[in-house]
Amino acid sequence: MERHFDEELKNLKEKLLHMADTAQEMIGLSVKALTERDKKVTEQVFTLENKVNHAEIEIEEEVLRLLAIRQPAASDLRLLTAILKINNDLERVADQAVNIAEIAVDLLKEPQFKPLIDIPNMAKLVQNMVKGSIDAFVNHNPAMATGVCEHDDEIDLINDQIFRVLLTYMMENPKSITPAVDLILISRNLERIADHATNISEEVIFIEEGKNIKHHIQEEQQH
Amino acid sequence: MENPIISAEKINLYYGMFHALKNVDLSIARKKITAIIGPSGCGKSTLLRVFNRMNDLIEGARVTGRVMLDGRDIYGSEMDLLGLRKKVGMVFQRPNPFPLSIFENIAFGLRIHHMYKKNKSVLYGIAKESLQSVFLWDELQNKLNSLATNLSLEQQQRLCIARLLVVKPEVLLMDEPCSALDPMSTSRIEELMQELKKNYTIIIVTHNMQQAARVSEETGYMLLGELIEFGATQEIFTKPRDRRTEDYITGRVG
Repeated sequence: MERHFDEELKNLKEKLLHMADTAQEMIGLSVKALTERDKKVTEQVFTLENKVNHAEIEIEEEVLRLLAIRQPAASDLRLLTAILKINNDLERVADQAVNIAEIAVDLLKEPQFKPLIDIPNMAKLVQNMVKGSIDAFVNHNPAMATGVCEHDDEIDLINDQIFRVLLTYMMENPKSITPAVDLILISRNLERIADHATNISEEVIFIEEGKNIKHHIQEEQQH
Repeated sequence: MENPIISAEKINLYYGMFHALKNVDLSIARKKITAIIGPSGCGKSTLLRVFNRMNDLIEGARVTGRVMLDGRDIYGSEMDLLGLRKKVGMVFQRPNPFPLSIFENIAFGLRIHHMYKKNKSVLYGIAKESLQSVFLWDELQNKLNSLATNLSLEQQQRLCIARLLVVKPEVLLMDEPCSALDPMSTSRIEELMQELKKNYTIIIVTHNMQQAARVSEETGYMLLGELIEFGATQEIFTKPRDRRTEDYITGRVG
């Protein structure tokens, strides 16, 4: 039986997907500003931030409204509580993209001190993780979500590698410290975005299977 | 489940040719509230009436299977029906106080079970205790001789519960006890149930899923005479195992 509630859930999911698309776009633009050395691109990131912030508030209010009037249970309840969390994660992703763009503004004031290879590469992988987690949500696919979680380690390794490379630069040439630290921060921002993609994936598994795997994967890694 | 107070095994019930309960297996935990939910006609009230053999009063009703109450089969040939219905009391959807005074309603059960029937002051003491346990004493202590049917529906329902408690039951069966009450009264009866479960086992049949979720620790879902799923209320309402349970509690069917 189709419920009026199903229509409301469909609209809510669409709002969330739209927000996810915007957050994704912001990641791409913030790194593009850096690789193409174009300050105007950072302006686009800052404009999109407003859009994401408005969407976050709208989605949160709609979830609260639905919780109050529909008193959902089972999969509907899991979906709504997960949407609240995914909403939060996406807003944080957008924040991280803004942080990258702000650092890019500073970096663009000086000539590039080293070619950018690892960071754009890392950005691409991170964007794929965010896309993967959202696709898993749309397609009700917990296996896809688990796949995203498994990439998190790879991102952590790249982050470490970037740090080691830049550390070498800083030790050899103190003048490179400021821009190197900026790049380390960008790498850290990207690593955080990957963490949020992992969170979103964990929420998808919760929606589809009712399982909370939040600290389970960490435990498995310890064994 | 450890040491359940009631254990029903392979219960089948027929009203004539109609197979109303199909192979129901169920254990009821002591001093907890168990809710039975399901769409109209699923057999939940019929199942409730199995536990105090009220179905015996329906012509053509036939039960097979075992129902153990504290280790004794209530459908065994030696079961004392009056004793059973003292131990397992029932509250109905429409409050049904006797057309007698409040005091006489309470004393009635004691009198017919030959408990303290001659000693008025002991009876009074018991009436006070039972009305206190349903939080009616303060309101009614000066009106014990007034007619019970003049009370509000909520008060009448509390009185019906008090009437059961005087004969010291172990189990309270409640068949949609709040359906005739407004939301505030319903809320107060639900609070009363939380108090009562400290001393009594309660089984409640309700068509109000949110009520089942609010009051019970365990919930069973019935459909077309079968017990589809039974488990911790939290699990049933957040991650039911059976698709049919999920469809019912999310309002997709029923």
